Amino acid sequence: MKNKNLFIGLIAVTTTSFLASCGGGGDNDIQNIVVDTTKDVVVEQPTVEYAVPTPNELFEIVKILGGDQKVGLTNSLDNREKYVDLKAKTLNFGVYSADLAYMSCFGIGTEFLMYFKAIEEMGEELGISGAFDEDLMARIENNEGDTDSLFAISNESYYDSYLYLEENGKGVELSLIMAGGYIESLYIVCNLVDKYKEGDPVIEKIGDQKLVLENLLDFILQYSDNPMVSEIMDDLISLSEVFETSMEFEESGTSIDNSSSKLVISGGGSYKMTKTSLEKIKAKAKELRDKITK
Amino acid sequence: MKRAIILGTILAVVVALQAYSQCQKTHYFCTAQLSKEEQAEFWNLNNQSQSATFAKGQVYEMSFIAYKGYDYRISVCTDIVAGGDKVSFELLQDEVIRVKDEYGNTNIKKTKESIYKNKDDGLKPMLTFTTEKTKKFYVKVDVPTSGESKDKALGKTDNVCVGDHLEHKEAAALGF
Repeated sequence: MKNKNLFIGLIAVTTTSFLASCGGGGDNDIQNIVVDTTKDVVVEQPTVEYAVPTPNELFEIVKILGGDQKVGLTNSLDNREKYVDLKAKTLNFGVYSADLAYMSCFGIGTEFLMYFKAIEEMGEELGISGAFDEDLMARIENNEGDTDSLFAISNESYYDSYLYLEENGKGVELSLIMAGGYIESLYIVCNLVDKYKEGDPVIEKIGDQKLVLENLLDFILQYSDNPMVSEIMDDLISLSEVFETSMEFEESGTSIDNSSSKLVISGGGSYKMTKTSLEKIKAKAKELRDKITK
Repeated sequence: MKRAIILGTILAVVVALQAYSQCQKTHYFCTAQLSKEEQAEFWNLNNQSQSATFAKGQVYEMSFIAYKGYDYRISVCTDIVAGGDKVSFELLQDEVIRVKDEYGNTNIKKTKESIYKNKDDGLKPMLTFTTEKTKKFYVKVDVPTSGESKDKALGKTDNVCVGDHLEHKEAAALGF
């Protein structure tokens, strides 16, 4: 892991972007985002690591919340031959990894093995085959049809790949894989929803991806000297602008209840999804997904 | 001489990589500090868990996302040999509010708000929490200033391994 003190830089970048794109009206006419550093007096700037939830975690939650599987949402394996350069291959390694998480979570087990083989081959081409456990394929073959096991395997392989790439100094590849995985997950979840309904928990989860995106941007910022990372970062910043400008900010005071053994955190200002934000986020996710997969 | 420098550099890199590699799994051992009952509870490992090498006395922060409707258990540990200092950590959240500037423009202001310090709770190594809204949190860890890493490669350095072990499970009632 590396020092990620650059996060202040990202805040400056995103703040500038948001400033440039502000419009809207009414209460949601936000002019700026200010990061107040005066509240906590920090003597030494701490090393900050930004963690990002995996596609598996998102799909697991969406399924529990009642999201139904749909066919035809994953990126076709026929597209694989189009991914010739390093950037396309790495981004789509992330896309197919998210597809694998979706298929295993929603019990679409029939194509799991084919997608996993494709990912493994792409991993070899990218020089990251060490991320895969040798007996992983045997475990998949032994558990074909057992979606719980396949989901666990997909989760485990994603995490092991993450650790392997970090450990081997492949931060650029990791950034691209995470970006591809994020875009594909967002695209899939957006397409599990047909129409806007207030309070729909799956739509709320789409809105929650705003925060996930913030951490993803903070994570990949450290590798932004690389042009491939810098390009995908621009795309992700344009997506974050869509989240920021289309969602409605709701103010609410925070309350902390520590009366039991479990701390309960309630309230706090947050962003809310609307019909417009769903449409705009869905359209932007499709645009970015098309850009990297086609 | 040149050869010795090259060999020395390679050796240093190998030692550092070894130490780094071993540190990556430190968080897996954090739950060993918990009581038998706590260890027996069912939790899923959250892939946002992190481990890394830090200098003694350094302040380290990890930002993670906690989803609404889930319980989270965070445990923090180091690989310092028995008898070393306990780890102090703090949980903070992003407090987001709307403010008006002098020109009447509406701005969104983000500040980090401290919501728990284990210093005020007998330096407990673990915290369980749940959030009504999906939020961004930070775990701020004060790496102990004394004690030696169990890792032989780090033993004679000023560094130790630190782990943030995050687990989750579905809260009793989704949506509160």
